[in-house]
Amino acid sequence: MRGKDLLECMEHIDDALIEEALHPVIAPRQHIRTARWGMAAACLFVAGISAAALWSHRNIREEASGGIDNEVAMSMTAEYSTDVGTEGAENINEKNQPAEASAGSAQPDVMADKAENERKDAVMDDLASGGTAAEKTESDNAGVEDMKSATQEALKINYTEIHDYSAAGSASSDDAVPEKGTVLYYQRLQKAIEYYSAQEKDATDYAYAVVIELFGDIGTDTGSHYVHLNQTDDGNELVEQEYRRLIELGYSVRLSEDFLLMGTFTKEEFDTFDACPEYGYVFRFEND
Amino acid sequence: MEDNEIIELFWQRSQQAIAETDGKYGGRLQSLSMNILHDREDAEECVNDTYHATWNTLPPQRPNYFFAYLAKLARNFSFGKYDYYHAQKRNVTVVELSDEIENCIPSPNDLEQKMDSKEIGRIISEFLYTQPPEMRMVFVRRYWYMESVKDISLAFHSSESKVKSILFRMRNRLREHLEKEGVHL
Repeated sequence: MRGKDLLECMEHIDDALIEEALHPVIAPRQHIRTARWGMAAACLFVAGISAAALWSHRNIREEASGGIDNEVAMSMTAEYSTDVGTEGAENINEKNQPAEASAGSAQPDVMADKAENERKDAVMDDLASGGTAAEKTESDNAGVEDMKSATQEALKINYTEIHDYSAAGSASSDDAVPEKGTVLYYQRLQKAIEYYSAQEKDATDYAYAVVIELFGDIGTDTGSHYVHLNQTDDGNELVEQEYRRLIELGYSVRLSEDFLLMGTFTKEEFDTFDACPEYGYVFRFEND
Repeated sequence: MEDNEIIELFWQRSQQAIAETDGKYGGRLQSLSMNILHDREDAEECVNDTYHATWNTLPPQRPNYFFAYLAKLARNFSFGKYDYYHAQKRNVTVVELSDEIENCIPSPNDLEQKMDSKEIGRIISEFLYTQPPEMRMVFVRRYWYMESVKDISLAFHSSESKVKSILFRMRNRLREHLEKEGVHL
């Protein structure tokens, strides 16, 4: 009977506990299920978007590299044709067009083909000379820019990447703060650039894997302060904005999960770095 | 109608008070009584006794928790009826729950101390307030409302095994708490 006694003692528990138990505020399982399905659907959606973006990005890259190959092939064909003294452009056209199109039955098509061949010639010249001949016509500019970026991309694959420079001593830490719109280099990185640039035959033989520390203005209650953006959470948004800008400018940069900007730069890119006037930059090796 | 409005009707000696109470809480009181007695007629009788007792005690009483007040009355009547009808042949549910909750009772020792049921009720309340809300609600639903594990699992949208697990842990914790408080029945 002792169990029953205790059961009857339960009668005297607080009224609040009795009322509380009457109205459990537990999330219904159906809602949990719905939420789970929702989360699963959201994950699938994000995965799909990511896959599509990756696929699209790869296609663009493949097209760009494929474009280079085609143009190089065309360039070789054109050179060959010029050497033998034939009408090179028309020869290319004959290879690429159906016989009836090149037979002259439709004059506008032939004119269009010639214009196209001229554009190709310009691109070939541009590739050979470094980009001046390509600026013949306004309509050609877009194609030439594409080719230039593709060429740069192709060239970057061939560089030797420098991650550190031990000859300059152990890793150091410089506390200098760059002024807005300026770039500072850590000493070891500076020495590495000097050393390797003296050795390289081409300005793109070497590239340097660096961390970019960003300085900029942060608004606070006491006004705006020029601070190291990587050392404050408030700076994350600005770092991300700058990352997007650098990407748009064609620099090979990436953003880590903790909003540290990193990139791979050639000496030429260091020399011509397009600093934003609102930010100061410090380039260093990751080990510094 | 809000509880305080129903209580006000009782205070005004309006017959409407009973109808409103029955409309709002009749089903739950019936269910509570059924959990103890397992007999519809007996349960209805207990619920009617509850309304009668409420009519007689409001005024002067003005309970803060109206349903808890009604439910306590209904539970008392139900246990009373249970004792009256089943003095020799005990109800299966009460036996089952008595056996279960007996696990909470500390083993006796030389300094065994008898406490009155109100004091034990206070100690149990004190213990329940220290427990996570879901666990204490499950415990109250089982040992105060005397609901089946299945009904509790439905009410809390969880599995029966989870409810059983919660009850097992709560019983162990309550035993420790009662031991600490020196409670021996």
